[in-house]
Amino acid sequence: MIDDKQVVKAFERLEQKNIDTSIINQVDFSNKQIMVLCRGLDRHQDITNINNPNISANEMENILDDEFDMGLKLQLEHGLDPQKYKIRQLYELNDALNKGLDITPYKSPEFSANHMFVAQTYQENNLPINEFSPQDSLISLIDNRNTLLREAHDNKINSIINNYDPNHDRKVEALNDYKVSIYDIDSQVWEKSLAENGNFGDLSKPLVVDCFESHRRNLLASGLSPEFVDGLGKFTVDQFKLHTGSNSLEYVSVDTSPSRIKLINEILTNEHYQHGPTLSDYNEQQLAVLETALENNTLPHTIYGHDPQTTSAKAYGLLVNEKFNIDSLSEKFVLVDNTNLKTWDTHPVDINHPPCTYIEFNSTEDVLALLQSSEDPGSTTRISELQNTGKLELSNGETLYITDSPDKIGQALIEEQSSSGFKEVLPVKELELSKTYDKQLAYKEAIQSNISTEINKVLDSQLNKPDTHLLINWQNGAVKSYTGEKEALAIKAQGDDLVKANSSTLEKYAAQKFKEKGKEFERTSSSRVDDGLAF
Amino acid sequence: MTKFILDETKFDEMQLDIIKECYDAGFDPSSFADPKYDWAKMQVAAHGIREGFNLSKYLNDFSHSQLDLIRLGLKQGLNVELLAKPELSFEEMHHKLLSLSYERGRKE
Repeated sequence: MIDDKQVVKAFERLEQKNIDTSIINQVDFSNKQIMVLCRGLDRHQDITNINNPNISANEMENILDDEFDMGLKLQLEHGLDPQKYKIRQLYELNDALNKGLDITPYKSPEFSANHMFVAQTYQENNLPINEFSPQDSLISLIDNRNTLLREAHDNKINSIINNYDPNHDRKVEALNDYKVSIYDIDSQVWEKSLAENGNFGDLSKPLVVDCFESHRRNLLASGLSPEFVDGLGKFTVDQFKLHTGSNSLEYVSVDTSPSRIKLINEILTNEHYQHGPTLSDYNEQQLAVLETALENNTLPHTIYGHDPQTTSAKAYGLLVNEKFNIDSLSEKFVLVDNTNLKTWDTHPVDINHPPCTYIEFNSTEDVLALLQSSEDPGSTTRISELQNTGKLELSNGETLYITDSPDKIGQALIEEQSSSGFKEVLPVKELELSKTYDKQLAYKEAIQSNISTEINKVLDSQLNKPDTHLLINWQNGAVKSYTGEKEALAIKAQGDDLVKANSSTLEKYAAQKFKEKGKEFERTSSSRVDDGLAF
Repeated sequence: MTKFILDETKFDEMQLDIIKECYDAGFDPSSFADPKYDWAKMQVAAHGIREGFNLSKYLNDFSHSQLDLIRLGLKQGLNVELLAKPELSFEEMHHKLLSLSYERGRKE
């Protein structure tokens, strides 16, 4: 030893605190390494991972720091006490969380690191782990897992055999026949449009419609669903207007869902007319999010204004839940876009022109994903710096930390953007601090007032026949009437309430909904009953 | 970095080793290169410098273990003035560091 005074003191200190130092073999380590190990023990960290003389003292310090952070994260986010765990257990739990797994069934320190690892392999294969116990032998758990996997595999094979669709080849054949006919039209129309200097779309539409109609029966007879066939027809006609008709059919196979066909049609059309993103820019996860929103009738028309290269599937998931009325907010934080107020400010409250739009979110991860989808090219660099270094120097001289609250991070990053003036990030419970809150409140009141008026009209009118159903939307104030529940259900969007229009049901519904909003439904007799409804 | 001049006769071998290692890695050791600080403190201070934290204002009043907690606090972005109190024992500082980190996480 070069100078062991500090080392001796460090050991004495630990021994006074009854901390076992026997794990450190003083002969193997340098003084610098020993001091790092002692500091780790002093902080009640498990030093097993760095108890190796081949690791430099600096490297040991870095590893200890990372493990300290990992323990802290597990403590903060999952209430674990890191001191009760061996370091390998902490690593396994951390790995599981990074894989997006639920650690609840095995987060107790009674489970060994090996148990935790095996449990993860169950979860990754969607196998049940309810019966997992720390007393189970690892061999029995692994045997059981392998048995379950074999059974799952056999079930999958049986399912494929049982679900074999003998019509599959017929469907493929019918679709291919249709595609070939469309390709023929494509070349015919192209030559004709060149010769006559005619408009491609106008020339092709009657031919494409005829072609589709002549194939419709064959397509349906092959076993393709009516929804698929109708979607295919609309898709082909729409795409031929864009000069890309036959090429775009490449995106459609017999396994493409009708909603995916509809989405592809929208994306290609938007690309052509609005110079929006191309279909190939989207990945499968992004498309799946948009497809679900389209099925739920919640896909905002502004969604194609976002670049799929910078807008993650997570961000799309938040953007498709865009809201227009503070009454509908349910998450912790919100990004308020006041851009509409530029044109709206001088007008009276109008339910057709919401003053603001709202994107809700719950975490820092969410708000960074949202802001990454921003068009400001500088924002992505700033967000990367914040994510990579944990902090960011702002232009006002302050420092923003990744550990700051999500609303603080969101607001600070927005203020760094060039077009920041019309956006705000706030906790939902502090929305009254928004600079446009009075307008937002007025809009909410207008929505409620409109719904009250429309419900009263229905109650006054003769329209409340047994089969009449209403779709009521508290986001935009729309109240629409339909004959028959089926018709209403076909149109119903996420956020619409479907209500039977008979007097007792409707009055009860109105009373309940207004009560939820801290108000009373006022039954007023309309003087305009004879005018009928303005639906 | 400006050239660093050191009177090597005033330092022991361990202190010199840490100062040189820091300097050779491209960092400025001047904030802790004083013979009155033992090598264990210097080791923590050098670790802090590598991470971008200057611990010089804490070197006089705290042990190397306490200094390391302050470094961890700075790294967590905490207000370490709540932690860096000479009247607190190591155990009290450790507890404070964990609770400050925990409170910060809960507020998010």
